[in-house]
Amino acid sequence: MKRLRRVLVWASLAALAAAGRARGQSFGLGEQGTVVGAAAFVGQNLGLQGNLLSDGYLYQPNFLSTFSAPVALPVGASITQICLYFTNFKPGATLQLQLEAVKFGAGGSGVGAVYPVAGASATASSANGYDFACSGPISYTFHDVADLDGDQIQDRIAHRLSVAFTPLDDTLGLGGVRILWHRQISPPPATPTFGDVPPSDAFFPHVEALAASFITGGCSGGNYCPNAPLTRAQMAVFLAKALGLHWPQ
Amino acid sequence: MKKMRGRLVLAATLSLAILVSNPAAAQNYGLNDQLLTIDSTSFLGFGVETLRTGDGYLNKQTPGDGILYAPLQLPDGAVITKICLSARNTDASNVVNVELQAVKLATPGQSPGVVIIPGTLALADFHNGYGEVCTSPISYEFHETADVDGDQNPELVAHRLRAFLPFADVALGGVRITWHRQVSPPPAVATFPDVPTNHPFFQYVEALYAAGITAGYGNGNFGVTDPITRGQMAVFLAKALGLHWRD
Repeated sequence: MKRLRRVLVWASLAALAAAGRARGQSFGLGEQGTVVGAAAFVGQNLGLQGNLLSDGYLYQPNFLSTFSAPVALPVGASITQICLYFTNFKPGATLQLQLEAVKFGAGGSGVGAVYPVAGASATASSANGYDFACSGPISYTFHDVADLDGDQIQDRIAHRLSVAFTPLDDTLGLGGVRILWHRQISPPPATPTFGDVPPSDAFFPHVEALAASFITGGCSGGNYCPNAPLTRAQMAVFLAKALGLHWPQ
Repeated sequence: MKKMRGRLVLAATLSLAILVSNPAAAQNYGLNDQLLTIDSTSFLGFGVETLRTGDGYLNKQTPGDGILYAPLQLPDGAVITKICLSARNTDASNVVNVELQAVKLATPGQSPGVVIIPGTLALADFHNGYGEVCTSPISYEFHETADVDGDQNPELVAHRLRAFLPFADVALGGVRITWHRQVSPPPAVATFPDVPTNHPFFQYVEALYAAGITAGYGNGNFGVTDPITRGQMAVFLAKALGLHWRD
């Protein structure tokens, strides 16, 4: 029964997002699908929630045109696609989805505090009722610090999903946005931490990632001992530290 | 000791009730048993004016029934085992409640709509001030694509908490959700010849493979009984956790 459901799920997933879907290529707790529902969106200008009707979709009051929802992913997450779920019976009307980075702080010379993420957009122009529209395959690495304005100064940034309704019409509905993403291993430092795991070592980025996360301090004498066998007890230490186990409440 | 007993009762209830087909789900592993507290500031309602009083609770200012929603996102495969509502209620004839809902995101040929997740209603029907009420133990598997309406047709779903505040003398503090991750069910066909479907490690090795954490050896095998070096362990862990990013 469970398997049947799983097959159905996969069939449906394949039909929904055939483009650019690379399951098995992603790692880090697996490939992630995050659905940002309509209840997460508020009016960009007045900070008011849209009207959530009985279908669960968000409909705009006439005086609001753009709704936004915050997006917080782990630093280093790679977004591969975003899809907009909507309803629209009005020919010529559109809903425009855009992932945006908002720059914090006053430093730097950049003009404009909101930066659209290239390619992370979708336009819903079908007037066939309930439907969805997706971006093409993208590869956007999520950071909380980046030089958005190109002034060589790193800016603190926040991300949001914005959906613009055109025209102002209370029959256009927003169901939600689906984000496909996966974690990555961060690039290794220029200088190796351990004498026996130099940059040329195939394990270098992985061992550096563990060291930078304080999961390992190496074996002894500034080495990691990459070829030493691992005991079950040592594995317990690695896992418990890596996962921050165990905090019952 | 009390906690232990609670765990045992919970585990027994869950395994008896629903999870016979997936014994792993009755246990709390995978970054641990998780508690997610959703503060009242996450709740918004169309046309409902709210005031957060000095106690941090959300009070409704608009007359009439107030319905507010807060979005809820969990990892695919997460199991929600309990939902608790913190509320303030000093009105003898009114209640505050929250429940979990799934909004079906329709695609052509599918029907939209809101599905109430059974067993997720937490009802604050006390009238003597501050209190917390919880659901009975539940086992709701969180999926982004699921057949929540039972029509044999899985939909993409967005989850939300619906809070109901009928009267001015009741207030919403927040909602606490207990959940844990699961190892996903294995595929029908084994990926590695040395880890066949009847192997005790089958489900776990397949989960690592599906997540891209291991591809096995070049010869098609996983090397299921081979010893591992510290270097190989580093690859497994760093890939599995997506380490290390600090901006």
